[in-house]
Amino acid sequence: MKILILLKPILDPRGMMINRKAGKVFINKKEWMMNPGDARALETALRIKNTLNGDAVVIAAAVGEEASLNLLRDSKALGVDRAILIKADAPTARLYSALVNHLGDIDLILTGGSALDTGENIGAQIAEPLNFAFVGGAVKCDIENNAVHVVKSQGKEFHGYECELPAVVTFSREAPSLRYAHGGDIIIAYRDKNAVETMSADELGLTDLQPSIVERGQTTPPEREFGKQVSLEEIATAIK
Amino acid sequence: MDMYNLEALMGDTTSSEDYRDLWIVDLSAETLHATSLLNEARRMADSLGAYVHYIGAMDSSQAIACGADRVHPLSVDSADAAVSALASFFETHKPEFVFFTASYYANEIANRLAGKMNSGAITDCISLRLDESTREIVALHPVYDGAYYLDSAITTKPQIFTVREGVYPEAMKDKGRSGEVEGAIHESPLHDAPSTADRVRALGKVEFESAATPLRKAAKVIAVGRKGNDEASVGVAREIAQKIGAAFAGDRSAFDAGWVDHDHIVGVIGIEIAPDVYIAAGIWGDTLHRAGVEGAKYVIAIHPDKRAPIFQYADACIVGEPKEVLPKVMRLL
Repeated sequence: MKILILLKPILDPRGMMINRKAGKVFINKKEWMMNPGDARALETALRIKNTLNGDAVVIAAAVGEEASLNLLRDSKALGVDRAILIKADAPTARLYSALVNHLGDIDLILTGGSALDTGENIGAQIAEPLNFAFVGGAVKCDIENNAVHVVKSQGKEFHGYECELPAVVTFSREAPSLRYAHGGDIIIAYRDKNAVETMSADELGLTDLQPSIVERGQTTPPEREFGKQVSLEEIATAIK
Repeated sequence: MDMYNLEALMGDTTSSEDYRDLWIVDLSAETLHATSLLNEARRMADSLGAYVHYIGAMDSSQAIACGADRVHPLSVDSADAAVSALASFFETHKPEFVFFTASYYANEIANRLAGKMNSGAITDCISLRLDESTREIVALHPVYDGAYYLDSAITTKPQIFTVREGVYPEAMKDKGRSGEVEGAIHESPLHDAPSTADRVRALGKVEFESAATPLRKAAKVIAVGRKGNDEASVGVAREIAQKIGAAFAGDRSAFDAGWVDHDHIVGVIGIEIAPDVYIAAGIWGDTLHRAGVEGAKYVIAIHPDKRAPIFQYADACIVGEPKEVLPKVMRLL
């Protein structure tokens, strides 16, 4: 079984300050982190690999420069078999579709439901051009009898789905969170110059990489006023 | 080389002028949202000199009264059926703008359709601004769980948007308007390729609890942050949680301090919650935390610094050290 994970680095909100009064977003410290949905997809891929007793190959892919490279090194430290960095400005559905066709025989593509920084759902966008089945919003995903079993939340309930391969499954932030890598494995992954393979868009046969969606500006939600000062007794009454 | 030259090389000579009209796709059970969206589409269409089409199950006379020129009945029971039907229909009808009424289901379909049509989709829009000269819509949509908003535009056609409920006012109806009702849209596989519609089978409701489910479902949540808290006061917060039947959680600083695990972080990156009562003890509450608790009905904030941003969205405020306030609250319960 060949599993492809799509990873995206996003700006860590810890380094951001959002000033509603000024209507501006300030990046005080540019730190990067893995998109939370993608991290959950990676955790599920590693669990599937454990369950299939090595009968699965897990490939992690990301687009960009250093931030994406570090995510791929982290995923190598966690145990993925291959990590591929595509050198391009922005991840697009077309780029990832070309990668899937280049790699060949991909059975399952796992990724986060949406990118926290843009709201884009790359997983849903690549399903149709590749003619893969699609299930979104998974909280749990297993492989059984060469089919994917997915549990997803629908309102207050959870529903099960069985999906034929090949398939794309995207994950909600309620799926199991990503494990921590062993310190020694992290050092090895970061020191090994060959840990991550790099590929250019040309090698995938693409010359036009313009994303369909462009950002034109940022705004903030409106201000609110100072709340009402209350006594301890009022608090105790309200929470009982 | 742009998309249109690529398609010309591949034998398809579609140009951007072939994409026409505004299309409302309504996959929801109720009609209020779609009717207000139809009104807005009518207003945009009049300035662009275009038609408005309605796709969905609404009564056609109501759709026409709200602004549709043509009604295309569509009734589907799964996301795969919707994508299959819309993709093959839009292959021939080439929409310039497509608007869905936003829901998790519609967002998924809009994205899949965008992928199929080699374009883009912007979901959960809270405002749409049309530029008549460039025929481009700039959409405002929330990111980082609503901490701030992005203005984005789609540079390819069709431009696909899903619009949140409540963005446009209640629809005005003109019963004197006329329009046409076209044939119903059915699913059909494209180019003899097998449809993906048969590949996903619903198994029905399952009993499942993720690690985050108790927090997500809790009616009351008490969350701690680093400021003014120590191990003892965190212990008191846990006792209060147990006493009032609340879930215990923390912000990012509490996670860093080891007081909560990954599945009990409240805020962006963590779990978005919307409890009836939310108590934040020692949480600074910047916009990114606020975004994660925006749905909370009654917010109680306890923090020693009166400049803490949490006081600007809390309903009830106590300026004080949580390690002093929490034991007093516990004694009153």
